[in-house]
Amino acid sequence: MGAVKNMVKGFIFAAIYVVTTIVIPMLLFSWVRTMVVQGLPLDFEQQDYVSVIFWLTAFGLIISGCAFFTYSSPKQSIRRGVFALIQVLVNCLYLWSYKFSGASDITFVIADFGYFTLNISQMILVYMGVYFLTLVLKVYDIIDFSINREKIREDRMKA
Amino acid sequence: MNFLKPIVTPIGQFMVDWITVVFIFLQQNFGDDLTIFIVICVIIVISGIIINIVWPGDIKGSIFSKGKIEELEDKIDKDEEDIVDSIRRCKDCGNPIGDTEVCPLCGARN
Repeated sequence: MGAVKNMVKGFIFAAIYVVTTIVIPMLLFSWVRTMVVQGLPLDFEQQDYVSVIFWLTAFGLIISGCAFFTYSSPKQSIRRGVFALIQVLVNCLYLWSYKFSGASDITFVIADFGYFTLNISQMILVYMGVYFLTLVLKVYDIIDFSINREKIREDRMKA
Repeated sequence: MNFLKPIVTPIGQFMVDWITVVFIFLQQNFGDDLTIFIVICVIIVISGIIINIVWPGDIKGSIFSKGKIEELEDKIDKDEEDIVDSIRRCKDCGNPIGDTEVCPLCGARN
């Protein structure tokens, strides 16, 4: 695959990550803020709403950049392995930003009716376990790509 | 599932520890300005584009890796030659005979 195809692939994946890590969460939070339940307004009692959006955007940008680099690199290349690892690390921070900013434990108040709390902390902790395994896998990939570098290159040239 | 606790708990603790440290650092130093994150993103994308142009990885044409690619090509050619050389041929006519003792072309015994 040539440089142009690599880059097109990278841009497609970067766009997917921009949508899934920035646009959709941002729209979701904006929608929740303006939601009306049975004719009653739902107040989003999240004090750090701005903070949530800030960290989502910040980490989303880095994740998307890393996704571009990762997916535009040749398969089984060391640079692909390194940036895939970085992407997973930033993904951990991205996920944690939900918890730290308070978005994992949100109280919704329905005016003159009551309130309910949405707690997704446990779900985030489970994801952390999954990400740890992914980290181990990515480190293994880098070691594998480094050790078998010559063979991978030869196979690529033969193809 | 309690038997997994001694394994899972330190892993979870490790993850929480490093993420907390990094996150607090980022909050304290870059917690109010998106510029640094935009700059990092742009640098990664631009460096990705440049690196892909210079080292596409699976095609030749890069001036920086020309020598290496030629070296690999020589190695691949040498491997292919070795395969051709390793085929048994008839002593009389030179026809490839594989494992058979009698040449199917000229009938000579090898």
